[in-house]
Amino acid sequence: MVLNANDREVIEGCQRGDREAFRVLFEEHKDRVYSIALRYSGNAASALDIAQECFLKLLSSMHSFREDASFDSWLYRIVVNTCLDHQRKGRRFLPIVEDLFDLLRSGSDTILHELLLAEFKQDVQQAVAKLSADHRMVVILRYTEGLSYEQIAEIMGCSAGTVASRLNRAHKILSRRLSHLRAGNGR
Amino acid sequence: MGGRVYTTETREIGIGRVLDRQLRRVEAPEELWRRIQAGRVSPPRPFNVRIAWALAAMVPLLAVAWTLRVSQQRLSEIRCGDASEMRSWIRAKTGLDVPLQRSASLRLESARVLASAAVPAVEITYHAGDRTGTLRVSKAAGRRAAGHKFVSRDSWVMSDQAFVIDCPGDPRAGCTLCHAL
Repeated sequence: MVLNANDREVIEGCQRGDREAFRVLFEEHKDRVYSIALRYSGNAASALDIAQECFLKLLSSMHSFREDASFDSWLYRIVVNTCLDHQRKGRRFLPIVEDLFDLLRSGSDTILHELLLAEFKQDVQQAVAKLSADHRMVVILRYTEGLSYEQIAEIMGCSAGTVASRLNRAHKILSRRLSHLRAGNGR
Repeated sequence: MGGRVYTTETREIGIGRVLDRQLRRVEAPEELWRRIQAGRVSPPRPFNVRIAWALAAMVPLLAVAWTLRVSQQRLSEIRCGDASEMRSWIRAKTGLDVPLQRSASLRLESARVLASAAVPAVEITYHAGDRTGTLRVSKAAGRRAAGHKFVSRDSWVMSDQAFVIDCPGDPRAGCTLCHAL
C-alpha cells in the first residue's frame, strides 16, 4: 500500500485545494468506500450518507495526511470510524429491499429465480447486519475488500490474533444463522 | 427451486465463499458525487502552520497577562469596613492621607488605587443606606490649602490633595467619612 508517483501527485493536489485532484481521488476510491458503507449498513440510503460523510471528512482532514503513511489504511480508518459513528448515533440500518422491488418492476421471465437469488442475498446481508459492530466490520474488510488479517488489524487498531478470533467467531455465528439454507428443501 | 439455489450456494462453497460472493464490492451510484459537491461549502484551504503556532504561543502569554492583571488588581484594591485600616493602606499604596473615621451613617466598602491616573490617586467606595457613593482623592502638588478650599460643591483641595465626592442623597452625609458632625 505504498503511494506511487501518481497517487502522491493527486494527494498533494487535494492538499492544495485542487478540485480536479479531488475528483480523481473520489473516482479511484468511491466504490470501495460505498461498498463498505453498504455492507455495514445494509441499506443504500445509509450507505450514501456514510460515503458522503467519509469523503467530506477525507477532504477536510487531507492536510493531516503524512506522505510516509499508507493512504489506503488512512482511508479505511476514516470509513470504519464513520460507520461506527453512524451506528453510535443511533441511526437505524434497514435491510436491503430495493433489489426486490426492482425485480418485481422488471417483469423478467426468470423473475422467480431472480427473486430467490435476491432473497438469498438479503438473508446473508441480514445475518451480517445482526453481527456486533466489530465482528461485522472484520467480515466486511475481509470479504468486501479482501484485506489480510494484518491489514485489518492495522485499520481496526487491534492485533492480527484478535482479527482472526473475531472472524472465526463471525463465521460460526453466520453458519448457524444461515443453517436453514442448507436444509435442501427450501424454507 | 429456492432450496436448490440455497443448497448449491451453501453446501458446495461454504460460508467463506458465500460471504465472498454476497459481500463483494459494488459500484457507487452517480448520486454520491453530486451529494459530495452539494455538501462542500468551500474548497479546502491549506492549513497555515505559522498562524496556528502564533495562536498557540499567544495562549500562555494571554494566560500570564490575565493572571498578572488579576493579581495586580488584588494588590491595588482593599475591601474592608475599618476606617483606620483603610487609611493606613491608602497611605502605604499612594502616599495620600485621607483622614477617614468611623461613621454611624456611612459604611466603607473598598478603596482602589487608580492606576490610570497621572498622579497618585485612590477611589473609596462607601454606602449610605442602600445607596453607593464614592470619594476620589488625588495628589494636587502646588495647590496647598490649610483648610477645605472648595472648587465646586462636590470638590475641594486640602493639604496638597484634591477631593471629589459623589454623595447620593444628602451631600453633607459624605462629610461624615472624615468628620463627626
